[in-house]
Amino acid sequence: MLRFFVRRLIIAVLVAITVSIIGFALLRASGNLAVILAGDRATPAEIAATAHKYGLDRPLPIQYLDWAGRLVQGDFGRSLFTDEKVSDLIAERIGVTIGVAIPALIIALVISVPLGMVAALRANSWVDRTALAVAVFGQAIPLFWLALVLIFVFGVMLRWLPISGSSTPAHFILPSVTLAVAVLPPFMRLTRTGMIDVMNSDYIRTAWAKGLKPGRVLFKHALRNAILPIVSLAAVSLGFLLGGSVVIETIFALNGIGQLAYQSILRVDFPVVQAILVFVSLCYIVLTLISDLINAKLDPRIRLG
Amino acid sequence: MTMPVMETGPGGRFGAAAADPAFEVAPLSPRQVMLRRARGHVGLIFGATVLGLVTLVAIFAPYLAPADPYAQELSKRLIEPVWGAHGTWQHVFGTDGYGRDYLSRMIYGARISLTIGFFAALTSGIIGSALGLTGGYFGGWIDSVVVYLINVKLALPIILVALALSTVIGGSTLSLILILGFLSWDRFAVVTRSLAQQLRSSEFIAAARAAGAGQGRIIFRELLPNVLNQVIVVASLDMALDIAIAAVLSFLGLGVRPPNPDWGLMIAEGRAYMFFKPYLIVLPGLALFVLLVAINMLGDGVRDVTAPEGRS
Amino acid sequence: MSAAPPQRPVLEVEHLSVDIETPGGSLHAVSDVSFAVKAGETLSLVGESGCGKTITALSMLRLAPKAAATRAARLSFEGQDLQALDAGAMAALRGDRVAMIFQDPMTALNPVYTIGDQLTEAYLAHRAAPRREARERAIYLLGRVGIPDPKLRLGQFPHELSGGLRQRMMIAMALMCGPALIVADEPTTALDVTVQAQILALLKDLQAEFGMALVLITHDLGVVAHVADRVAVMYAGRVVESAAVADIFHDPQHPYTRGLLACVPSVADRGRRLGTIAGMVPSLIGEQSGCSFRNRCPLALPACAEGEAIVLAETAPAHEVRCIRAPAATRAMATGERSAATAAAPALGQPLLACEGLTKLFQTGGLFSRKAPFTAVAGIDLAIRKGEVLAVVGESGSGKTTLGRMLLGLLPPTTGTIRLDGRPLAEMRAPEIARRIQPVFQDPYSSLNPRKSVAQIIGFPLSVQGIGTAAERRERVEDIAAKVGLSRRHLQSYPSQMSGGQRQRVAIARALAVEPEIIVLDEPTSALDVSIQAQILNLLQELRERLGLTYVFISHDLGVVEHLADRVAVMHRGKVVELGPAAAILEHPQDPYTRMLLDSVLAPEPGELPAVAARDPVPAQ
Repeated sequence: MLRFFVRRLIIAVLVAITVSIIGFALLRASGNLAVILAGDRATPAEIAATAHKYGLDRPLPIQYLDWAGRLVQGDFGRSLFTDEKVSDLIAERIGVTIGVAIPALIIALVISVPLGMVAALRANSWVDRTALAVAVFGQAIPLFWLALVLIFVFGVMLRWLPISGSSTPAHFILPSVTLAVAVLPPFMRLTRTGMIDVMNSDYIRTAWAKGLKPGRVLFKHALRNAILPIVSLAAVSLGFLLGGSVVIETIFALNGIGQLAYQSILRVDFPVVQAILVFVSLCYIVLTLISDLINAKLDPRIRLG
Repeated sequence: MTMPVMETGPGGRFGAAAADPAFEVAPLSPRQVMLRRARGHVGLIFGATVLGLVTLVAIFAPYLAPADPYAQELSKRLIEPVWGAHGTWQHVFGTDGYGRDYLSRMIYGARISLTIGFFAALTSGIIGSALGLTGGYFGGWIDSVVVYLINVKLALPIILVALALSTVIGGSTLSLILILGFLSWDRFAVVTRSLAQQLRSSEFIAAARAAGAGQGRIIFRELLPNVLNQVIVVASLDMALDIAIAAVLSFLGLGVRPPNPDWGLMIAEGRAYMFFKPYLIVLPGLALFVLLVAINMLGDGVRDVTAPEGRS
Repeated sequence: MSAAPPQRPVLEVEHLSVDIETPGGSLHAVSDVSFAVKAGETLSLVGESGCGKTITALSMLRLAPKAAATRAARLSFEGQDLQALDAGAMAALRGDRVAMIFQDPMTALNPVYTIGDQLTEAYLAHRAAPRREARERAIYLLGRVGIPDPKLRLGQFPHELSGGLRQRMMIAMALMCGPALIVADEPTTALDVTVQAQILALLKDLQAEFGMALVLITHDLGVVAHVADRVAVMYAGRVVESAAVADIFHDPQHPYTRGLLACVPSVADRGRRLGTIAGMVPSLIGEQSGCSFRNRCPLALPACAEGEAIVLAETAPAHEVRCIRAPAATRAMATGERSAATAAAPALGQPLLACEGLTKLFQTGGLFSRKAPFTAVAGIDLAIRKGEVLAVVGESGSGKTTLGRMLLGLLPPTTGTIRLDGRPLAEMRAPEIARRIQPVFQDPYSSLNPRKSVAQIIGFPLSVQGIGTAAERRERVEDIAAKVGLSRRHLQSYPSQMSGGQRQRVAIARALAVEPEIIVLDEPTSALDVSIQAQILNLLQELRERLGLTYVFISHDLGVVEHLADRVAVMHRGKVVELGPAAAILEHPQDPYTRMLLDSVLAPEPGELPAVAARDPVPAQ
């Protein structure tokens, strides 16, 4: 178990380092930072001075190590525009993003897992067809368009729900539902195929041959095995939901991470973009690490293999 | 009477084999089996038909569009479609906020979506399959590198990186194709890698090696044909994903730039009028939705049709 | 075989049929099957793949897939009418009064639950007993089935046990509630021959101790001969012959039974052709009339095709046969009269392929986890002489396949050298080796590229080597195909259109395409039914004689080896423990392992099970 964990940890750290290099490269590729920092009317001498002040005249690897070193200490840098600490900016907004992400994931799981299970048990029935239709719908519908349609129907026509901002819990309903539609299809498909595979497996036949009651066969023997890939997928999905959906937060005027990233991209505030990129990747890396550990806990073959 | 046994002589036995029922083969070749299944698959037929129609529309856009999609006529702003109030047959889908014929813009929009989707999927398909096949086939440290690359790719938030990259390298069709192509190869790599891993230990690969075939020949002539069906399935899903992301980027103003008639961009432009001219967002949105449904159903259909016996 | 006292059968099945609806029509998987088993008695359902033996067992316990419609005139267990029971009552019987043992103990156990949990589960479900009691019984039974440290095992997971221990655990699991009937479906097919003998002996022991009835489903006539009291031979969904075990083996009356027995290779027919059954099983879809074996039967008369399906008729006391020509004509059908012995084995030539000090170590684990390397081959010196058939015999994990791959140049040895005509293989290029040594592999389903036509597959080595023009290659492919008994028509087909035996012919043709001197055959018939195996073995023998080939024949099946080999190398744990002429080794084995291996072989001749010492290694943690 320990060896398994250490191995995963090493890979996770390597991936994190690579992602930070990519983030750093992206910042450098965005243009000459000194020119941006020095302002529009800066003379070449002023630009050079700015470059020197911020250490931008040093070799790139040194600059990277310097930046990464501060990153490790929790210093994500400062915004070029507001001069606020990026860590403060992220901390301010993560609450809103979480407020959308967690309900979205729960809604998706609550609908997709039972639906996928029933679809698997009753293959080619109307439930199965419905489930497939739901999956295709979720995969095919453009998210921003669905958001606009929901706003139009529930916000404008029916006037049931608020459509903009994040001041009350009700504000989170439409964005969460929209995101849930987007993350639902893979869960549905994975549950269905996983369950079909498991139900056709020899050990389920053994369970029937033992004379166990259907509920026990299903929930104890089948679901436990079918759930394994769902755990990994949930981690991945949550990782990205925590990164904030740029388009959903923009449409619903939610002041979350995605919105922050979008605004920063528009005003070329690359230290913020870079920091968010690294932050989101880290969320993903940590969550997949956790899901690997949960899977190892659930599946002795991984743990001892 | 004796049991019929194989005779040792070179004579009768080979001739007899042809008439021996033990030497009958199943009548349908794999391709015929596939075609037969495809004919009965409603989703596949629907998907292929719609995608085919949209492709035709895109190709023949100049002949089909009733007007120039870029021509602004400010006196004819926001004319309703033919079914709306004051709708006319001259502008079947009405006009947008600049008085441009909406139908023509929709028709040309198909060109942009399909071009981006197709070439981005092609790019990522080549990158991902190359990585996946090499990693899965060779194993060892090569595979470790491939797995590591896949992990890095998965850890990158695709929309965020795409947005950032498009501010850096611009929002031309070509740059969108490259951005999406380099950001969505992971699924190809994952699928082809696991298939190559399974096939690597197949005896027919060992037989090919024992026949003296080189690695290149084995990968391209033995492995690739066996993963092609699944690559096509992934490609269709990936194409749908690329089209959707391109639309998101355009919607956010960082993809296809005005005045190009991109469906995502049209929705963004129509958003200002959405409460009183809903057709401006409904029509391009529906077009996107139908196209994506078709591509997804096509992908599902190909998977069902090419699945091994009893697993459809 | 113990004679059962007269009593009411535990299980009675009369006129059972199972139909499965398919898009092409109704598939008659099982038709008119009747049998009965008494307490303490063993009934064996025997037949080749697809004969309906497994579905028969599953459907009487209502474990068959939903699409299978089961009907029976009578289906009674301990006097209860099973067809009248509702799903709950049926479930209450399963695992309690009737238990099942499946073929592959790896996949039949749930990987995520401990052995203790899976053992006690049925007991707790059926008995409403305290957990403690279930645990104690589990520990007792694990000990009883010969698993060391039973207490410790309760906390382990299935993948931590070896195959033999897992099957013992399956048996313990079946015994938990003290069933009156055990249905065992190929319980030893996935196991090595030495383990098989132990497991069967254990089953018989336990059966005697607990007085259970046993329904044993198998394709293996050797197992049947040693375990069964009564035998029902199944063909195409029907029981074609049913009799006491001695009668089946000594007085077989159905042409199919007789053919089947003639197909089994043994030392008695060394150097001869085996009996074969021509043709293949007819389609079970649609209306069935007359005798389903008629198209393969040498005794078939026009009457065999007519009218209703032929019924089982008693030809002797407790001996039923489904054949209108039995017993008179069938008894006269001399299965012993096989083709004459072929020319004596060719004189042995010079060593052609020789290995010295050959070892192979495998590094396990990935980039971040180094484990101790696994030694597959641990120092082998072996010389293969021109024109001989050298059999390499061993159980799973003995290193025989690794050896074969090294001889083919597919795996580089860790140390040691292989020389072909005195030249080190390591110094030769792959195409050069390929021209002289070719393989035939085990699995006819994975050894052919499914995307290529048969002509492309057979011609592949030729095109790799760049031999001849396209037209010449085509001609050569047709020529070779004819040699292995494939016609021009087959060349345009794809592997998925062919049966296992046909595919193996294609694989042999591919190996012959470049006219190699040596063919390494890695278990070429172990995936095939016995009647098909006989065809392939005959073909291999004939090709060898006509083309002067040298074979390295890798196999676990001593019957096949006895039949074919000139010399035998017995492998155990990566080493050759014994090497010599086949007759000498098989008749006077010197090495204790070889002796144990030979003792474990179950010949198709009724007799007592051999006593083989338990040898299951306790797996490393």
